[in-house]
Amino acid sequence: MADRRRIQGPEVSVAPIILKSPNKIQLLDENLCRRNGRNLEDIRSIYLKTGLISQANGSAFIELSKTKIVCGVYGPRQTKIPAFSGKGNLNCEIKFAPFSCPKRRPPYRDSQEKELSQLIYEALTPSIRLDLLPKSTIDIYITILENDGTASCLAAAITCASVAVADAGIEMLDLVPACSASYINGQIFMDSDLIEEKRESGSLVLSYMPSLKEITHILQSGEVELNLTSQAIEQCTDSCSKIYSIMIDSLLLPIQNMK
Amino acid sequence: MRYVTPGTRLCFASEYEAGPGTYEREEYIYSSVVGIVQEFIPTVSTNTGEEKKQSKIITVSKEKHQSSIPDVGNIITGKVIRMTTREAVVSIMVVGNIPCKDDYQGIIRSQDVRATEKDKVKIIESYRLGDIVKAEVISLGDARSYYLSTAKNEYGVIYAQSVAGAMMVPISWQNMQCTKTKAVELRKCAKPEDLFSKNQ
Amino acid sequence: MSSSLISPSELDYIIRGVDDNLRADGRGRLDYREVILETGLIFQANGSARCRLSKGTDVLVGVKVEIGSIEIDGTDEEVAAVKAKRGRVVCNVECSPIASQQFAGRGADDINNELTQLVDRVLNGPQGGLNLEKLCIIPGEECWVVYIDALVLDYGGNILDLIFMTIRAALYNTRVPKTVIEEDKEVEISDDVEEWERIEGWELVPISITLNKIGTRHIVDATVLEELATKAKLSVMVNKNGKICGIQKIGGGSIEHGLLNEMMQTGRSIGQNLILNLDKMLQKEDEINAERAKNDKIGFFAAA
Repeated sequence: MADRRRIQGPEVSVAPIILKSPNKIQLLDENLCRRNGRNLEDIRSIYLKTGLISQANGSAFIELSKTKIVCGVYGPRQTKIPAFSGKGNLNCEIKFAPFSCPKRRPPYRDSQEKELSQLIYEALTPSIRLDLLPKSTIDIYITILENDGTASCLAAAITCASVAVADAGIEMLDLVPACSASYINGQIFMDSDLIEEKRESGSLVLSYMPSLKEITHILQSGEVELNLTSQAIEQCTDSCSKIYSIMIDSLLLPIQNMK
Repeated sequence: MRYVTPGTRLCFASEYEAGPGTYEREEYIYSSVVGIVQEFIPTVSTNTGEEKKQSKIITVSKEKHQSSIPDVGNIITGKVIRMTTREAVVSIMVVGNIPCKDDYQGIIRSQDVRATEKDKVKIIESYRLGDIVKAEVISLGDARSYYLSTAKNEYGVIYAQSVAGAMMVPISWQNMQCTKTKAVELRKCAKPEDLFSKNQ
Repeated sequence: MSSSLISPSELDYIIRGVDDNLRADGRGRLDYREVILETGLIFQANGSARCRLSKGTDVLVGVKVEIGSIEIDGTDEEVAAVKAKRGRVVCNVECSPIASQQFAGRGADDINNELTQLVDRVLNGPQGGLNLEKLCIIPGEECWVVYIDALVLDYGGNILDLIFMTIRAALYNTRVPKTVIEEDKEVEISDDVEEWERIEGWELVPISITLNKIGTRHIVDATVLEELATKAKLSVMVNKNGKICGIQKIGGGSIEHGLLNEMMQTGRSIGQNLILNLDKMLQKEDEINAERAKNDKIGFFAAA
């Protein structure tokens, strides 16, 4: 159905074909260094800040070079679902800003966004103490302002949402850092960006509760040997522990500065 | 002072008891919120006069309170927003001393208005729309509302406006008088002493 | 997944049973139910298959191949060049309300979307097995689009595994007509019914093995009640060569690090065995189908 409130573009948008790209992109140089000076196992530097949205109970912003994600947490509020539930309800909604990807994304929710919402829900549910919140709902809204690799976006969104939930003062078992990796030519590229992701043969997204040593979500695509997967899982859990300390700092710094 | 985040391991479960803001899992106690670690020893004096030693309780006091949600036994303050012959619907605004960000809905059924002569209760003679009521949560209720009760002296209307629009003062447990016209209206009033002695 | 309830005593019974390696239907933890497989049931489709787990889930998959235009991804020339030479796979999963009341109306939206995205991701990537380049007719312009539609007809737990098995069988059964490219770049489909080819790479299409963590142990091929007792699910996609083609945790709950590795190992070995069995069944199907063509048999849904 046509939405009359918005200016209608053509139904299908096709990006222009670029005639010539100057050079073939080299993912690795001779020193096994990546385009942006990282090593294979290095993740991008992370900027994480809480409490940016004044209206939300909790909020967080994460930036990994080009990837930029904001998350707002509202609630707990009374559930609108007309069925009694002794446990709280978690509602995740993720949205790509229309200008966040190489192709314009329409403003309504598409099936990929619905799926990502589901994945984030699954990754966060084990960490939140929903049994303490009968009849209530927690809403998590995530907006991706810029997408630099969908797998790393998903991972960053989980990390960001988890910090926002903690910032909202909601009781949880542990923070949930998440990390992504790409398989390219049998090598593991940690936290790959869009250009690397386009050339990958598979990817892994892992979210992990470091202090309980439990994996809250895992998603792998691509044809991979079991050994390589195990190795990637190890590397991801290591990186998650690094991200974990950044998350803790982002939550504690504002308090310590206040005092 | 020790600041912690959710998932921080605090101590062995054998040394302390897990208090609010913490949880116990596999012989350790972990924090479940962002805040400051505190510990205290509850002292319970037994009949013989001896002080029984209790295990220490560890808590994490929240740096930022989550918007509070009502639970059974809480005292709430709310506004009457809808009335039928059988019940008054209350929008819960404050739980204990903490305001709710979003309002929760509760109902006072006619049998929960007062403790005596329950069968003679008329909602219209107990509450009016817009009254501010203090009540106790008695059950999580049905899918939509919490069940509230004002069947104690200290619960009932704490603030009301008269037909003339002026503030009213309680003159008995079931009457309030308008400060402007001196007209008397029916209300189930909260015992005012409690308001002044405890909260101030 | 299911909205139905489970009582604490049922839950306890299942957890203890799993602990003792004896489940309610007599199976051990890592035993699969018997799979019934049929192919070539829908004549309007280019390929079709139906799988049923004994006394449980029933999935019907139809594959239709149509000529479509190649989508050009203009942002990255290197990537676009590869994509211009490839056909496409489009997947859809629908849980029909006949299978369970909970799929009625909008109730199935979430699960349909979740399963569709999962299947689409596995089959569309390089791990999907299918040789997409063989599906290209004119590079940069026209290609075969393989539409894979799965319909869940009965729900007895473990939908995802069965969907993958059925899709694999349906792809085996798919006949892609031969094409002739005429001088003005018009594509002509050969009208000779006997002139067809199988989609290359069907044997490398992965299947999924879903492991359900119940208590401290894990089981495969859970029934509805067992799914309700499940704390966390892990689906491992495996192909014939024993390569892992995808891993996904489904539902709430978390998995301990050590258990995860164990589950992946189990999934891989069970998956490989299952594929061997399925391949044997597929070979037999060819003979049965030839037999069937003579007898003009009807009533496929009744065959359990």
